Amino acid sequence: MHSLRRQVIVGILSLELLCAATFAGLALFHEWDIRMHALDATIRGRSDSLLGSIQDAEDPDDNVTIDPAELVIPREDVYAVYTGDGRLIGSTPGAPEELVARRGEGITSRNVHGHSYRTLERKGMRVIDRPETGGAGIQRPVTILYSVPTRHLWHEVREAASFDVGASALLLLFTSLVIIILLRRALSPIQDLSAEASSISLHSLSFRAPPSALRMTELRPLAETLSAVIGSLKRSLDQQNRFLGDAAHELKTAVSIVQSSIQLLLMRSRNPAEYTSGLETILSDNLRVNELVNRMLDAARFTEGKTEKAIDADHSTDLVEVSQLVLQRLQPILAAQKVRVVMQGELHALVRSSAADLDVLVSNLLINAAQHSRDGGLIGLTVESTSGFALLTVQDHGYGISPEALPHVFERFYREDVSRSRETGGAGLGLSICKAIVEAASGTIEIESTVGFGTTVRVRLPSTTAFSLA
Amino acid sequence: MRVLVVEDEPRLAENIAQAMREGPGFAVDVSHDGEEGLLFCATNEYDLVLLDLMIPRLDGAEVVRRLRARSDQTPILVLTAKSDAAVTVNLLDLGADDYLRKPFDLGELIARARALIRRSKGVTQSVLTFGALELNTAARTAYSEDGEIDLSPTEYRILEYLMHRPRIIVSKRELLEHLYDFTWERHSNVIEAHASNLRRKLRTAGIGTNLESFRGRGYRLALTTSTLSPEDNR
Repeated sequence: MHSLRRQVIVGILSLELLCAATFAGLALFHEWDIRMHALDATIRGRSDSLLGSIQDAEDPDDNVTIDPAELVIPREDVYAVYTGDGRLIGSTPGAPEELVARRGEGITSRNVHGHSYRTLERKGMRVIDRPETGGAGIQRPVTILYSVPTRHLWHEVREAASFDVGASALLLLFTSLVIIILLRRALSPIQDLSAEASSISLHSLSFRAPPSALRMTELRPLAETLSAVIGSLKRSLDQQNRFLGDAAHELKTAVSIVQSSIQLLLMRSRNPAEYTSGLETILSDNLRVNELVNRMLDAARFTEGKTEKAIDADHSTDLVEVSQLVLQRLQPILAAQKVRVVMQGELHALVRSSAADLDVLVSNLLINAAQHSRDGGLIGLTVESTSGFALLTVQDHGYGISPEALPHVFERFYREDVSRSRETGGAGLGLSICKAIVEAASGTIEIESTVGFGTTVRVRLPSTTAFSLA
Repeated sequence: MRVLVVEDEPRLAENIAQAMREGPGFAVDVSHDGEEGLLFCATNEYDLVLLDLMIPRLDGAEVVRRLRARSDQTPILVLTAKSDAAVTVNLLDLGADDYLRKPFDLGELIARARALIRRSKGVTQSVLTFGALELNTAARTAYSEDGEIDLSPTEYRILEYLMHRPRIIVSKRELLEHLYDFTWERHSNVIEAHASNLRRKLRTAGIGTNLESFRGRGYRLALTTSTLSPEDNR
């Protein structure tokens, strides 16, 4: 497992350390360079002084002697003087071989027993007064080697740079602390989000996006998506569970009726007429079980979006034709309910749903209207074509639906008045099936009702002519 | 015995009611929703309430809670389509006495109903005895030492109710309340006629059990050896 926070902290600290090291190195180098230049200038100055003080020669061999009263050579400095023809005419007593050796003009670094020296080799002119020349100076070219140890230079550079290095080390420590604290704070929304997400399970499908994550531009989309997905998953699961629970309840009740009818008939011996009427009751009870099962299967099928076969683009069904067929088929039922249906509108209205789906839709709406109608009631069935849409309207003039119940009528197993609709054979599935069919066809369904005056259902389905034009 | 069935499914309610009337001979009232059921319980005295859990307007659990909240001690048998133990545990905790899952056996429903009524009256067996009189509530028959006593359904029902409350004076109103549902024409002289027939049959059976009548107060089942003093009703 890689920790994002650890990676970021290690990365930033390494970078900081590198920066600090580079900075310290640069400071040291710069200091060294300055000091070196200063040292070189010092060496030139001291060699000038040396040259000045060897203008006179005390002995006939032109040997160099330094008068301590005239020139004080620092204790650790080493000098050597050669004549123009390369004869050593003077040097610091006990001067190391290395510092006396000539290597050509200029400044060189030399090493004597592990100690570093800067050595300047230069030419110069020496004027010597001789009695034989009668006071006129004899000019003699000389070469001077002057060496200064660099041991102190290192010490001085370290001294000077130690402040810079110490300051950057302190800065490094301080910034790393600040970075760790800031990162902890900055990354806590990620931790909040993942903690909340890890608490999701099949049994507790709940996700509340942590406010800290919602405040972060980068995390907000993730948190919102998670929240939306889990929410809709939970809703659909709840819906399915509710459907299963409701379906089980309806089925068990229906089966209970059949079973109790049979047991009631068997409770004591009866005469043949009683048996016959009992069996007829059982049969009708059982037909209702069958009807209930079929409608549940419809509801499950349509809400899962599996509408009758896949509908290809050119597929079109005439809504008017289907409506007429349904009307014909339902005529006996409608007559039994003592309602009349008046159909009007277009001659044709092509829509993209399958005939089977439209059949279920129209018959459900008609049966629903009939169930809510009074005896002798009138039901209006209208099919119209508007721009790109076919409009199906089913209007009854019956009892109407109360405003409290109206928002729930498309929910599965919802029944406004349980006893009445059960007597008329409804299981509270009709309108939910209609809604599923209409939505599968990218249409809309609306319901409008006034208690005592009746109900109007309006269905808008995209028509195929509009599709072919587009 | 009088039972209230609260069940929104009319066919099921009808079947249960008919079975209760035909089987144990209970008087049965039917209500189709929770609020109506509560109203029925407030206005009538029931020996048992049969309650469906999923009913409109007030659900079964709420009906149980409200009944118990107003200290109605009528035994409650709940019918439920839910197989969730949490639901039944909650119901029993709320004060329901027993439950039966749908689809149920009508015979079992009746047996449980009888057992609940018996227990609520402080009786544990289905065979009740009083002196030499024996009443089998499962078979709905009465016996003396000589054999079965032939009783009409109403006579049996009066005797059964009194056997559950022996040595206590039971008013005519209480008998009417517990033996007849809304479908009956209730007249106190109907009770009087049946009671006098029952008294005659018990006397002929010669089992030392007497149905005493107290003018304006009601009836009492007592042993003939006991004093006829109305105060002797323990």
